Amino acid sequence: MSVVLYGWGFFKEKSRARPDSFNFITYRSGPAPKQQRPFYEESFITPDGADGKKPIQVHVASLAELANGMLAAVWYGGVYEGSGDTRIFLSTREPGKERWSPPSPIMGRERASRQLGRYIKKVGNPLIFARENRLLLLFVTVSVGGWSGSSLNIAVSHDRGISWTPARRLTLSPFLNVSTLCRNNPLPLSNGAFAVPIYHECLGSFSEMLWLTPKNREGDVFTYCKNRMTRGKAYIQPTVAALGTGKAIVVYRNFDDNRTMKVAFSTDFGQTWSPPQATNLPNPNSGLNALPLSDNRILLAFNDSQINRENLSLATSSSSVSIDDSSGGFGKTDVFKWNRIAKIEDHQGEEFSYPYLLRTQDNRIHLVYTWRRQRIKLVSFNEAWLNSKAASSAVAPEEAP
Amino acid sequence: MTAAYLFSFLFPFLLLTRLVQLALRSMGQQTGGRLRTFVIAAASAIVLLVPIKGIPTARYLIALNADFSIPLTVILFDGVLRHAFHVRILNAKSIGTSRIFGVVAGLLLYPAALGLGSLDPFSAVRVYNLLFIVTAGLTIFLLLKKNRFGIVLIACIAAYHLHLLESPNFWNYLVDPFYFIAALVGLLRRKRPNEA
Repeated sequence: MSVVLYGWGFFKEKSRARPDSFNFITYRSGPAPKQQRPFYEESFITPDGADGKKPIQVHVASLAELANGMLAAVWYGGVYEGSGDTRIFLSTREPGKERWSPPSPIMGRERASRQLGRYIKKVGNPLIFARENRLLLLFVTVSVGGWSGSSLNIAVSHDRGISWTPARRLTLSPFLNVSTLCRNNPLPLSNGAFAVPIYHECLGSFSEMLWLTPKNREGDVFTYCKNRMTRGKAYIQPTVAALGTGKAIVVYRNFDDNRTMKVAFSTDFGQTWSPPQATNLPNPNSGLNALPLSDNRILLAFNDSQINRENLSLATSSSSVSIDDSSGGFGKTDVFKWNRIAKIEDHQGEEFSYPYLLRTQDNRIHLVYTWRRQRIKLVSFNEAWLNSKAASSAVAPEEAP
Repeated sequence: MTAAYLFSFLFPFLLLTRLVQLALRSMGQQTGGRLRTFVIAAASAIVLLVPIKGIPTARYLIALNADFSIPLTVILFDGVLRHAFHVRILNAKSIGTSRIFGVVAGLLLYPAALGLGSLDPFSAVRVYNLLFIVTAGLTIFLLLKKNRFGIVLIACIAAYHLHLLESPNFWNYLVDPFYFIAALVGLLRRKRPNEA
């Protein structure tokens, strides 16, 4: 009987669809940048607090687009980061409209406690993404301790964020299932699954890839597995840009002594990753986000400083990124030199952080970020605007250190 | 209400029952017999089902660790039975094996899972698939040696197929941090019997 039980378990695991069987869905073609008129627009998603309500700190925003073009943004807000009153808020914008809906709380510690059937101390780090007309929400809960005690949970909405399935806990670490967090954009796969870059932050600090595969027709129950991207104690919050068949580049938030941004690549559908290599861009131990452009250059939103988050800038790789199959490296592509394109924010003593980029069906690129910890700001532009900024930029590519 | 949710009450129940037994014994009270065991068990169950802020008390332990391993659960059950009815599931040989297993499994799993090196046995496909083969071989070996810990391992794989824990990972059925620490302490104490 034991042989039967073990054999059944072994073959059940072996027969599970392996993530490397399925391709990343990459950039969708649209009007070429040369045919676009430059577009740039700034706005705020969250209200300014002038309505007299008690101000709260807001942080860690992410953005998703449904198949009908509706945008959905989530973030967390509370008296201070990680306070017990922190809740996750959702705001949506219908296609063709300019105004965002008033922020609606969709998850807090009490609701998470009820749904997960256990004590929850705080919630945070919401990550929203979409598949057709489903919204998926990954978020962090902490029962004991600080953010190093985080566990990941998932909920799904089939009605544009009005209601959500009960949160389900994901078991991603054998050590009390703690210290796993999410931040940056999941990559949709051709089989309906997602590759979600996550990270572990406890004794070690390293990045991993979480593979979420829906196992029912509604797409709200998942099987999952993960694999390691880095080792050590310095690389978290990976942001991954898919480049083509099984190839991708990752940029890491890095808090080692060098305080420079580091990149790595994969040629096997994200199963293995090269060791991180330094770029010419700084990283003040802060969040960053990457997005592939139509010509396979990589757009980066980041804090252009080694010591603070007082500015938020955009940069692109110096050329189109190609990964050499034969050598398994970047080949002739130099991803270690990046061109600074534009400075979105720059104000001494203030914080502009945790950028999140999303390309929508109308080929616009949207950047959401924490604005002074008071509001979530949205900057929308297109590649024509990026190219015009690059052409007018007086900043020359810098040599790698 | 899933099987894992219902099963999650078992470990806190066994733990509280065992703690009550130990407390009574420390006060010079007897803990054996059907009536006493029923009263202790009933009292433990009632305490654990009482909701605090809408959550049963037992589930507060789950907030610390949702996946207590099957070997630790069986060891705890063995302790409760021993003091209640003087019945042993695990003999000295199988207890010794459980300690060695807990320490070895923990050493193989936790340092790597927490970031030591680049191989994560918790998720690396080849290592994870090998886990079923190795544990199957160990189970058969222990059963042939008439070691009752082999039956505990069968309980692990059966629980895995019944989804009795929140985790879908077989490692969580085999070992947890508390089992690892208890096994380590048990092994170290066994090696130093003469220290004060």
